[in-house]
Amino acid sequence: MDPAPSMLRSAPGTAQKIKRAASVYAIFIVLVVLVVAGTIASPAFLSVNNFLSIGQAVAFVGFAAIGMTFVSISGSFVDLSVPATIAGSGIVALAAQPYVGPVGGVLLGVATGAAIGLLNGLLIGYVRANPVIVTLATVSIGLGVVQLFVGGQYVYNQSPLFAEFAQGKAFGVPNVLVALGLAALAAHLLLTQTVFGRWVHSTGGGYAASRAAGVPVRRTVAVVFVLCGVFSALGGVELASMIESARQSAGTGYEFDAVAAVAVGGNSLFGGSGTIPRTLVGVLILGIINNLMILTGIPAEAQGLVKGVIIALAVFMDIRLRRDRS
Amino acid sequence: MMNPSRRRLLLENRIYIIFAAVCIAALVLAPEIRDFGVAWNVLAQSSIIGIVAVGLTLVILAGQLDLSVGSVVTLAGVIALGQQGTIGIWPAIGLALLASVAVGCVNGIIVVKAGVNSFIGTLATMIGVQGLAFVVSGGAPTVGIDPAFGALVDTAAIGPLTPRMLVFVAVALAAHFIVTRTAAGRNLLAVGGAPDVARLSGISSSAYQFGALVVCSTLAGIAGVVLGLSLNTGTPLAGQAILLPAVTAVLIGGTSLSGGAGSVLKTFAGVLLLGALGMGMNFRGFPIHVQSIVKGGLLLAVVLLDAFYSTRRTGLLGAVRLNTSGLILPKVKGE
Repeated sequence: MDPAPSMLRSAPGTAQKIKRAASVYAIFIVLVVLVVAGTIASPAFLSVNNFLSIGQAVAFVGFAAIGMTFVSISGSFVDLSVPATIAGSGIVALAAQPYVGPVGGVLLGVATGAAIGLLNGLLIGYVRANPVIVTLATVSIGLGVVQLFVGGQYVYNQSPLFAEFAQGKAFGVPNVLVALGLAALAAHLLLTQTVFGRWVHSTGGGYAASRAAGVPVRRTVAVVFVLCGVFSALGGVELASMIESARQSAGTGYEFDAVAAVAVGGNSLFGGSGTIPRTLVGVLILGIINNLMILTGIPAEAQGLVKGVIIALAVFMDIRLRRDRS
Repeated sequence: MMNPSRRRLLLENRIYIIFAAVCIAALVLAPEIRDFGVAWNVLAQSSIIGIVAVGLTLVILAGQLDLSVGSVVTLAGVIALGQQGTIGIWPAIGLALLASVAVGCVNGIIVVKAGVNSFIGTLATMIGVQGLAFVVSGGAPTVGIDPAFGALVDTAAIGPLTPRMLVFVAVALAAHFIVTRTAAGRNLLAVGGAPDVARLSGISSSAYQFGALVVCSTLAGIAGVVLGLSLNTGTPLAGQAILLPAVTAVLIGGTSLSGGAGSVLKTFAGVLLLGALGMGMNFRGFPIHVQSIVKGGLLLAVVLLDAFYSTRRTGLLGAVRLNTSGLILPKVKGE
């Protein structure tokens, strides 16, 4: 439905102010509504333990979603290579353990993610190749290389210290959530407090204009993919620490969950705007929806369908609201 | 130095050169291919990806992309096989195709009517349709009621051609004819290549893009039905390995990702190229993951090839750029 022509011309009235505020805070309202609905739907829902288990379930996607937020804000659509990064980093971290120790393993795992990200970044940032096509190719290559080394086998953890990275607790909070919090904080500061953060926003908002204004657009896009590789790899390492094993298919589907979280959080998938807190809320909402589907006995098969519909709705809303604002 | 127009001609038709090179490589790698029956198998094995790639070519020519094709292959297979027991074979096939058309319409509504970028919009349907296929199948493979019916798909019908190959060849020829010989095809190219000109000429670009998305989805559905029947099984993972080779086939063929330039015939050659490569690797016992590395590498090689040529300056004025594929985003002033 279109607003009356007079509405378009007039100064923003109360109705429009409310509408604008709703568009900004919609996602937080959705979160509250979901929590209330969950409390009504299941008595087991509203408890510290249930929320900690939701947090643990979505934490790994959370890391990838943080990386994906950078990609989205920079206007580079998506990074489909996340499954290769998650599987590769976890496997490298565990496989290198006997030689370099648990901490060295983690570093090598994260370096693996950075390397995949660098390959993407060089091709997308400097060669200016299409991100979807490039990452479609690198995910196939990356998973193939991983399979080449470990086959369909599991690689198991041998270090109690490594297991602590995700499973241990600090002040009652699982370490994986502490790590996610720290990663999110670092990403948030990087996006909001640094020149690089402004470059990312500017590049996504208008590539040509940013270039003309002296923003190193190519480097920015390249670094964004390296960051996505690093954050996804952190998720892969934490996942390996949590389940004390890693294998080729460990990261299957994570790229879509991460995109879904970014979109549901109300970040634009078309570049120029977005924040880490929004992404975290998106991750949490997806986690709560999953949790509710399990608590209320909706079959697991339906979850992909629900996810796709949610992304479509979120993107649709983004387009609508952008149109209203401009 | 080669003169620019000849170089352009060479670049635009590079697929045929690469195709010849790969065929020779395959013959050397796998002498078994010299056996006619084996070579013929390349066509049979590429048919499913081929049918999908033809649809994808039309969408890409119209300036859009459809990432949901793999999921549609899955959904169609799961419906066509899974519903046989309840409603019969032909109605189940009809239902599968109807579902594919419906997905195409949803894509059209999201991409064309709502104006969502097709990379993101069809990513959503890709996930949603895959989920739907899981719901329909209950997450497990379903077996058809009549294996003999399914076997017909791979039984020679006309000469050595099986229905599976016939569908691919017919679909490719029809699409090629439409694109090159009809007004609708010319309009489609105009919509993808020069949207503003098309609009000012009174061509409804939304209608053509909507149509291309629906046709693409329908073809993916046909591919899914054929695949399902030939295995007599519908599995919720059937379409997993479809998108990458289909996109690779189209792009390696030289159809431009930015729309408006390309041809179904080149895609046909791209499909056979991938098929010959896969066949050669199969004969040499390359494991499946090595093949996925090679296929991913091939796509990257196409990207780099275009990067190399799109930055090369040719012609007297030094300003003509050979951006053949649209894989590389246009240069910004000052870069």
